[in-house]
Amino acid sequence: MKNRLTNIIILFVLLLAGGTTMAQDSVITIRDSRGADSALETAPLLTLPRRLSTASISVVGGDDLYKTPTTNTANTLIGRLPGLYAKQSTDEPLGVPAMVSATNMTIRGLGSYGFVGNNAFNTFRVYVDGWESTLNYFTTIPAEDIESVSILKDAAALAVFGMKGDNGVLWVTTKKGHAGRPRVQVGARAGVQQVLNVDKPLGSYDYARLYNEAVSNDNGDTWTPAYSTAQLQAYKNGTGTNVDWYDQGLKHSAFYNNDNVSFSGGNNSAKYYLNLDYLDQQGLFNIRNTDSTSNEKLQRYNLTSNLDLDISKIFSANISLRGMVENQKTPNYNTSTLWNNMAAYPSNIYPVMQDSGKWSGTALYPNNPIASQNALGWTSTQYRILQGNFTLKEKLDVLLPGLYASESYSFYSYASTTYSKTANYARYFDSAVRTTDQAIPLKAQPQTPAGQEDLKQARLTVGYDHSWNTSRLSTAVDYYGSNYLGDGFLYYATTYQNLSGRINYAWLDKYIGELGFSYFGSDAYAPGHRWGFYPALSAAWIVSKERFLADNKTIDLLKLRLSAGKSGGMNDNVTQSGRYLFQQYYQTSALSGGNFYMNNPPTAGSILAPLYTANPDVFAEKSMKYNIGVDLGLLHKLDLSLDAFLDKRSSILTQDHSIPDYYGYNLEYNNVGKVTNKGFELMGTWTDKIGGFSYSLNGMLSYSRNKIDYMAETPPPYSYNALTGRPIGTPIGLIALGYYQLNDFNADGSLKQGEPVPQFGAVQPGDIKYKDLNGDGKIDGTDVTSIGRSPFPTWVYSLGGTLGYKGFDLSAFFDGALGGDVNLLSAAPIQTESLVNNGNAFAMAKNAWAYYPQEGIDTRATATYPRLSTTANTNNYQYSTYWMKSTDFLRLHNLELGYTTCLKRGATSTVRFYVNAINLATWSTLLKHDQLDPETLGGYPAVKSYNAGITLSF
Amino acid sequence: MRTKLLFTITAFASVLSGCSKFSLNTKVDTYETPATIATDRATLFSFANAFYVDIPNGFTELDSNFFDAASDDGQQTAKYSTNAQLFNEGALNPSNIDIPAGEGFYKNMYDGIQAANFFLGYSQNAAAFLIQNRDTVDDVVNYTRDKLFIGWYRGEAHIARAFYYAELIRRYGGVAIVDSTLQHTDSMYIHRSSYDQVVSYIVSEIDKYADSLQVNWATSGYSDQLGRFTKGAALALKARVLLEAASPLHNAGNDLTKWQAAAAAANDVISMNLYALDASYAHYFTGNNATTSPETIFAKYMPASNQQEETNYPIETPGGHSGVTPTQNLVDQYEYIAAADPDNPYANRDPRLAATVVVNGSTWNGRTIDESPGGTDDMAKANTSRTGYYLRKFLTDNLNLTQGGTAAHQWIIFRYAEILLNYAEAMNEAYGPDANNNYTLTARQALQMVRDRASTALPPITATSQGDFRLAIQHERRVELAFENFRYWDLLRWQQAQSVLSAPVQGVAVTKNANGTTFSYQVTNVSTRVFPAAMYYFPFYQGEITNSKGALQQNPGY
Repeated sequence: MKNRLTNIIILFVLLLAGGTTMAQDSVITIRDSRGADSALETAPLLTLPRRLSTASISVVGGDDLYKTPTTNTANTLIGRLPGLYAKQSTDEPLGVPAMVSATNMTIRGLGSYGFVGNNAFNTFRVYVDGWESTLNYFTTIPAEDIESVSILKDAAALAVFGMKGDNGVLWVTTKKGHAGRPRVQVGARAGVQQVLNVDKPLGSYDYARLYNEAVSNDNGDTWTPAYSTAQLQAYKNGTGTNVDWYDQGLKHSAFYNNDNVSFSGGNNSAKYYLNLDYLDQQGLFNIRNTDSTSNEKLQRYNLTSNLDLDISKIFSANISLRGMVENQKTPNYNTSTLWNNMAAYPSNIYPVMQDSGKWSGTALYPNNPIASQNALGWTSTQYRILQGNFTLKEKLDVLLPGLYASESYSFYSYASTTYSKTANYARYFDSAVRTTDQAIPLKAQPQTPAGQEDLKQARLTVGYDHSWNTSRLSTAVDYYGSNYLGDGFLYYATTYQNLSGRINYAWLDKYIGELGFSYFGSDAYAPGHRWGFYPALSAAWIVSKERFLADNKTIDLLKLRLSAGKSGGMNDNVTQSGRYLFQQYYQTSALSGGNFYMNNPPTAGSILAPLYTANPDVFAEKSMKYNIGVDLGLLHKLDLSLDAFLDKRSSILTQDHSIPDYYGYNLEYNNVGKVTNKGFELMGTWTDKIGGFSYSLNGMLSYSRNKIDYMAETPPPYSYNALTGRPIGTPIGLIALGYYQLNDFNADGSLKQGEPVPQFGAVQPGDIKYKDLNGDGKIDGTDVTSIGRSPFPTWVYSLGGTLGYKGFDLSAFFDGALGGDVNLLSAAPIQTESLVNNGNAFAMAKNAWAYYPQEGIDTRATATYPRLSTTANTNNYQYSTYWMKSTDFLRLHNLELGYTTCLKRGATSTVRFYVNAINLATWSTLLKHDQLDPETLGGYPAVKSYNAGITLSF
Repeated sequence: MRTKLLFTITAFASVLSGCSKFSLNTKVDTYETPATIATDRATLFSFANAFYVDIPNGFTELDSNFFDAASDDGQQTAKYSTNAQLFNEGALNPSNIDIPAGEGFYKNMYDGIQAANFFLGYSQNAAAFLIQNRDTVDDVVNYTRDKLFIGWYRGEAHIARAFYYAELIRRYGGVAIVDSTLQHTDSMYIHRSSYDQVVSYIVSEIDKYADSLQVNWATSGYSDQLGRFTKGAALALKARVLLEAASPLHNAGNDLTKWQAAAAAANDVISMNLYALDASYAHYFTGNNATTSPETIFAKYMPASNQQEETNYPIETPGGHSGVTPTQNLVDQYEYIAAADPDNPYANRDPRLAATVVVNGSTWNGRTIDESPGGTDDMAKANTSRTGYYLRKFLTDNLNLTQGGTAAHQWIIFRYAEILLNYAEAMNEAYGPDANNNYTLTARQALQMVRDRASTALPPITATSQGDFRLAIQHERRVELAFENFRYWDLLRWQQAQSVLSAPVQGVAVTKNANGTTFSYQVTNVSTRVFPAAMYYFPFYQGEITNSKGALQQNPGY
């Protein structure tokens, strides 16, 4: 592996040395936020110059996304779009369906609490080239195929999306051919990936030392060590068993490679863009690829083609086709469990192998991580996607100048199959077999289907563009239908129809007004309740075109934008409730989940009971969105853009806990929830030149904060227990007051009079003390309240800069988030609950509360962790402020150095060499104090990578 | 040109819009729908099972164990996180009643009531249902049976509903009477009825529908229906409800007609001449014995399990958790049937003691229990019994828990001995110990039947006054019905809870004598108990009060 890297570096240096330098302007392209006349608004239906747009839209170009080499294109969006919160997710080489967890990305924070999760109601929709798609599909599009990615944020931008618009839209445009001579672009890049962060458990010595404390604590604070001094000494001097599972199970670095070749060109009657992309990512595990073992790895082939044909004066057509084949391979053991086992198995339990050469394993620790990687065989999964879009467009100037129509059809098909070779091994310890597992040699398993999906969409558009005198009018209406067929589960079929339109009118090229609307029908609602109307009104004023600013030297652009409108949110997949909430269903179990037995011997009788009470009026969630924006250009160097928004949600589909229990039914879903979300986004770019240096700085800042106004929650005993009135995801728990000290207890070990008594088990010195909020002398579930901030950060920011000199370019990009908290007990339980239930010990627990003066142990004053215990110490591991930690961070996300030169003097053929590093450095208190990465706390982590690449254009 | 163009566009448009693919009338139903159940008569029977599910399981009512841990008969071994504490410390309040034995129980009762209401509505046109998709001539046997079943089941739904209300009023006093399925509208906010109103509702339902019930499933030819309500169960329910309603807690003026009604109701069960006391108290409660015994009037049938053993075997038995243990207070109640043995206080006692309680020196789980210091079950060990006793009643001996051994258990809800004791109590209050009011038995005779079954060697009842005889009955109920979830409620209805449940419960400390074979026992206080006056009724959960929008008023004192 290291050799491979060395070779690449040598090759790179040689090429660099051999290239002929040529003087040339910097190739750095700065994206123009005010929009030159050629820049188009990235929004549906109309083809408008961006200056005439009234909407709030953020855009990033594909070339910026290409800077992050990854198999997961969603990870390239981090920090690039103001208003988009994108959390770094795992870089595990997984296949299509598992790529992105929906809650990892949101537009303008959270506007609704409804159905967060995989069947998320609360996620934005993704459209690729105007067709609805999914985030998972997006993750597989090669970055070089992407022209731009936008997020549509306000009512003006979302007007035509109807019930798909309430959480915003990710609008992706892929590359097309341009008339001109054929151009070929070859890109090749390779790199090494390393674990971004891993919280390694303590070695055997520290583990045993802390275990002695824990056992003694459990034995009534009497020193009763489980490990003798001799054993401790053996761990210390290296003669005892001390396995670093991460060290054994992981490679120092894993290989990544991505190559592509694209062809584009054409003439006035036909234009083409073709791209072939190959991607190979090896996993971080230390497994050899053989017939019986396989590292986790992913290989992906993408073939894209886009054809524009001018058939006649009237007819033109576009055909785009994309095929993707993905082969994913993984050892036959759940990789997130494997990752957990490497953390959870103490270092001293057994060596990897017994002296006999057999795999170690015990009943308590049966899944030796190294054996899990190497002795169970592998599973291979193939994913195949075919996406085809066809458009026929007619210019109908013969009927009316400016009139046009188009008809389009899109299909998407996905299928996957798996194939595996399985084996098993016997677990040995002290030359005896310890579990019921038996050694089974490698055996091939038959291929099995692993899911399929089918999505068909069609649209029919009629538009009219006309300019006269000082006016300019752009309008279009669109009929759209969508039909989805899935795996045959609840999500088996969904259809919807949308009749939408936009009317954009500009006067004097400075006063712009727009009306957008959608009349949207969904099959999720009862006949008669299926259709909703969603209008939006917006306006823009380009102040800088007014006479009083026209000659201003400082202000070269000032544009004000204002929008208000309504969007909807369609619940197209409520897994728990049956497909249609308006339909009464009956379930084959009772509401309380029990059974009824008859006969002798007793036999369970069949049962039917109403599932949820049908709600015939059920309808889409409503969102009223208001936005005000300012775009400012100064000195032809600084671009600023500020947007402030208010999003009032209502009719959020909510299981209604405001119904008394004597109702006796499974509580129904009603459109009753309300949430207010507000915030702003600021972005700025400074571009300038000093002598031979060109440079630019850019930054963005997004803020959003929400509040649940109503959610029909079961009225809690005390108002401070409630979720209502707090931001979505607010953690509820106890307030920790520090540790119990020796003087809190009577001689018999009971708490002194006046100390509130925790109801979670006996407490002793060093346990966490909580606040008795209701003052009843007990610490229990009624003393809970907000214990921190929601895990969704309120602030997201990024900062970047580029520097160009001659052919060289250097860029750095930082991103971060502020205002979120994580509950360690739920996000990283293994790393947090040291020693509990045969668990491992981590650095976090190294300075636990302990008081054994005879042993020279006294951390009473300095403890940073409650007293250790080997049993489930429920008192200490209650959700409380103690375990809440800030996830604020700053990351050096991208650092890149490039050099561009011509292949032949004077020719248009260029070559660019570059090296870059991803996730090079992170600043975070969580990382510093608790050894946990603020974005990926558990499971397969994100990676830090070092890459080198060449881009050749001719 | 134009025509051609228009034609082309129209053609495209019609292809697209006419495309049935995008029709909003999709149909994806993975559950039964009104349409599917309307054509399947088997669904009638499934709905008729649903209203039985919430019949409470007394094995798991409080902390997944016996409710008697709330009374002075039992002590929960676990010291923390138990709901029994709320009762023992008198700490129930509207915010902490959100426990399975409180708000959870309340909700389950109403779920059961709703299921019964639903069935009663759904089966109204059962006749039309039963001839659907069926040749009533060829299939006449099954058709006739189905008709009979629906008739019985409709009666059972009324009784199930009455049963759920009886359980509710025992805890909360008056509750909201929901007698049909509710719609989520403003009219669903039903006000609380008084305790007496709910009692009359229960009684009127039983009076109306008891005769439409099956009398004896075992001999009916449909023995696969065993476990459903019978006429005897309905009458037993009435007898129990009327007895509770006549008791001091609900009968402040001691209205004798209430006692008379209770006595008559109990006599109705006795005069069915269908039930008799089981020959053996010791065997009756374990295995499947209750399902075939003539003593059982109604029981909740269950599949074999080891849940009860796992929770209540001594901690030193692998897999056991000590669970709910009997107290010295209860043990003291078992009378001597011969002279006391100075070396063994448990010898020569009412045999129901050995059938109910595991005492030091007895054989249990394959060993002789030795709780003295250094013994197998040394009480100094963690999580051993705090009272020095372990529970035996209902448990099957010697299950191998670590290997998943199981045994049958049935939770007996009505049995003949209770009816005899109910009868004795009501007769004594209404007519005195020795009058029979032209019924077959006097109070004394009924009481004696229960005692004789336990042991004919028990000392005779010498009480002659109504007051003394009352004490004898109260004593007998405690012993006979121990751990069957009666004690706590009896103390409430007799208005003795404040004195009895505010005294500490006791246990024994065991030491081995110098001779190495005998033990001495020191009575010790195990835990203090508190019972505030407000707790004669449960508090409604605060959320329920809020959600009822004023329809429910909180019980006084909370």
